[in-house]
Amino acid sequence: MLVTLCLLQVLSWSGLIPTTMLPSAAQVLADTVGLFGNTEFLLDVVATMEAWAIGLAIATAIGVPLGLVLGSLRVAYEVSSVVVEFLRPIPSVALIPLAILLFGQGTEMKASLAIYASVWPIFFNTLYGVRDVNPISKETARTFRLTPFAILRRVALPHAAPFILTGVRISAAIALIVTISAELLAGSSAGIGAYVLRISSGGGSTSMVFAGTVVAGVLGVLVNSVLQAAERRLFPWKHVEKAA
Amino acid sequence: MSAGTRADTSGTSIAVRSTKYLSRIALRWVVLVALIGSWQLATVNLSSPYWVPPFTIIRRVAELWLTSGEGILSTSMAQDVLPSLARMLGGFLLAMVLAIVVGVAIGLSDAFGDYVDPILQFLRAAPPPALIPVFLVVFGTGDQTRVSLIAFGAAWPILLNTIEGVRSIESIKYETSAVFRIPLRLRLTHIVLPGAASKILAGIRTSLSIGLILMVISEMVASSSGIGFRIVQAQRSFALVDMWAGILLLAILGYLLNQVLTVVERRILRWHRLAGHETS
Amino acid sequence: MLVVENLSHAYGTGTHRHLALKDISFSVNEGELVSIVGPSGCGKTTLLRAMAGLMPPTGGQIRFLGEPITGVPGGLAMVFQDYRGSLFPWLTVGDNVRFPLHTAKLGKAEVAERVGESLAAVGLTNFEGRYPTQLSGGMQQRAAIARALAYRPKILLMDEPFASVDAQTREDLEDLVLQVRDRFNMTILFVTHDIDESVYLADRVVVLSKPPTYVLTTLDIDLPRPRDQIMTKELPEFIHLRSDVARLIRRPDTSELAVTS
Repeated sequence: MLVTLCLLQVLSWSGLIPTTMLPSAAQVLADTVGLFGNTEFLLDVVATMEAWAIGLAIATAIGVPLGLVLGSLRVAYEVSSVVVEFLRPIPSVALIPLAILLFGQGTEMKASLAIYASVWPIFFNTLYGVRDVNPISKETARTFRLTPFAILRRVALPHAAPFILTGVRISAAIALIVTISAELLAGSSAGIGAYVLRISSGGGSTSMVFAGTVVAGVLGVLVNSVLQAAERRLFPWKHVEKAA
Repeated sequence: MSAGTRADTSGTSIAVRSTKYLSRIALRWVVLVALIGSWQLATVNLSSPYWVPPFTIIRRVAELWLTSGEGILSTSMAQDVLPSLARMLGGFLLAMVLAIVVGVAIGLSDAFGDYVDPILQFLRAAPPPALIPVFLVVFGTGDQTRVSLIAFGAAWPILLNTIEGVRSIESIKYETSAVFRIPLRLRLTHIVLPGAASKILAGIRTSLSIGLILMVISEMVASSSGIGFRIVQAQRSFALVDMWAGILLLAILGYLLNQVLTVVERRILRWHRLAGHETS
Repeated sequence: MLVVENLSHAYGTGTHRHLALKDISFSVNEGELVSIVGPSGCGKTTLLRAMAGLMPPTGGQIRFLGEPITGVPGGLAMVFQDYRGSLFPWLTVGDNVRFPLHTAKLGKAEVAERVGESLAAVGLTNFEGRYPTQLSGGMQQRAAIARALAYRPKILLMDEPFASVDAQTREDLEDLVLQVRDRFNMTILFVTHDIDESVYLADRVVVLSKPPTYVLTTLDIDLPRPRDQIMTKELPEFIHLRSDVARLIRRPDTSELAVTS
């Protein structure tokens, strides 16, 4: 990592690439550090994170129960698969203009797009997880006289849980892209996208834009590693299996 | 294992299965028709300007696509769909070639892989739309910007999956090929690529949807053609039927691209399976 | 306690109807250990699933404690061959044993006592906190047996429980079944395709034919108890009985006459 940064730095000193295009690594780093003292930017980060978190939370609340039910009821899946195949190919960002019309430029609009974008990976991972349950597991639960609902909750859900978390992890990355896209396009008043827009239209330096992206990237990596750590903590049996 | 399950499959006749299949298809059509019907009814009764009835949208799409403007193609085809598709495919193919070549190189060399891993993880997490202004500065407002943005965004999932796929190949295969002194070129085409194929394809699938997102967003932010541009244009001029028609167009495009990928995937994986069968 | 009357079961319909079970009648009395043995593919699993109420048979009747079986009855536990599927990988061994006790509305102390007792009975006291995947196959099946014991069933159904463990472990587990049976005074129905196992364990052996399956014969096993893997299997009576069963299974038409005459 450090070596690459030094290489980039050397490259920019050498003057091969003008700094308006690819700013020096040191400059970006300095600007990134500077951003953490910038209250306005911090509020932007908070605004993006808010829409992102709300979107992910609601998408999970929709995607998981839906996946559980459709994963265990063949008929329900047959009926609804048409709807799914109909909606899924619509790229989430294509809906930005519609969302702007319906919800304005604020958090509601961003969150609704984040929900749409993140519900699919969560839903499908839950569905696959439920389908992956060993039939013997379900029969075992039946011989202990668990009701179908109890089987869903105590057998299907725990089995699908690691799949669900993977879905949330994939969704988190996509939701971040969509949220920032929405901010850029809608001309939102706050958010990382709004910051990038302000800098570039105000004639700010490229390195400031890079710095904003660096922060967004760091956020993405952080959320990803938090979710990965949660995976290890919550599902220890997955790892003993690998170790064994 | 049990007599029960075996008897179950052999006992179900082809006739029974095919009627089941037909009734399933019928059910799906019934649901689809009911869905569009109730959507139509709801939008007509709601009479909100934002929610356009589906038949109106479909008519508009047919109009845009099927009436000829410039030569055989409709204006919409020539000005929106083809440019969008060209950018998408250009960026996507670029990403694919670069990511697979670099991914194989990194995957084969452990030291190099460990060293670049944190950078790759970080670059993957950085949201590409935030870099649109940078790309505009670097590449100008031409198609270069959009193609390179799509390539940039779509490359990471393929790259990371290629590395993972190459690393997941058992070392016994490399050792075997070393013992038989198989030349590097054959090792790549017969061991490395087939071994990593399913992982690479999974990456390509993710990249496809990211590429589509970036195509649309780049056209929305900075372009004067393409479906994304047309949708934003329609929204700003309050031409809501056109906006919905654009969304539907994108849905169809997304669906078709996904179908193409599924067909390719099936072909490649079949070949992959057969190849695996021959060698074992 | 458990009565099976003229049970039959067919898969599929019309011309593709496949009769798996033709006509099966037998009963298990309280405190008995009955084993069911038959050639592979004879529908043993189908029979057991019907008895557990997991699947309604197409003909005949099963009564448990006088009541006809329509769904899974209370007071019945099953140990499956596939312990990997049957034990829940996300629960520790202790939690797996605790799993069926949630529905029984027991006090905490009672639950803890049952779990401790069951794990002790199968020799897994020190493994309560481990996950199933950390244990060997034989230990996993012990955990599955402990779970069934903690449930305190009136009857325990075992579906080829030791078919996927190695021979040495298998003998240990057979003796474990005999021990827990004496200790908890259990009624057990044990399905197997292993002739030695069926004779070694049982008070009575029900021998099934090839499909369409019917009961070839029922043999009373008068071998002395407690049984011992080496001594019991040396007895001329044991050798005689196992040969009878083997002959029945191999050539049912001729040997049936030989035994019944």
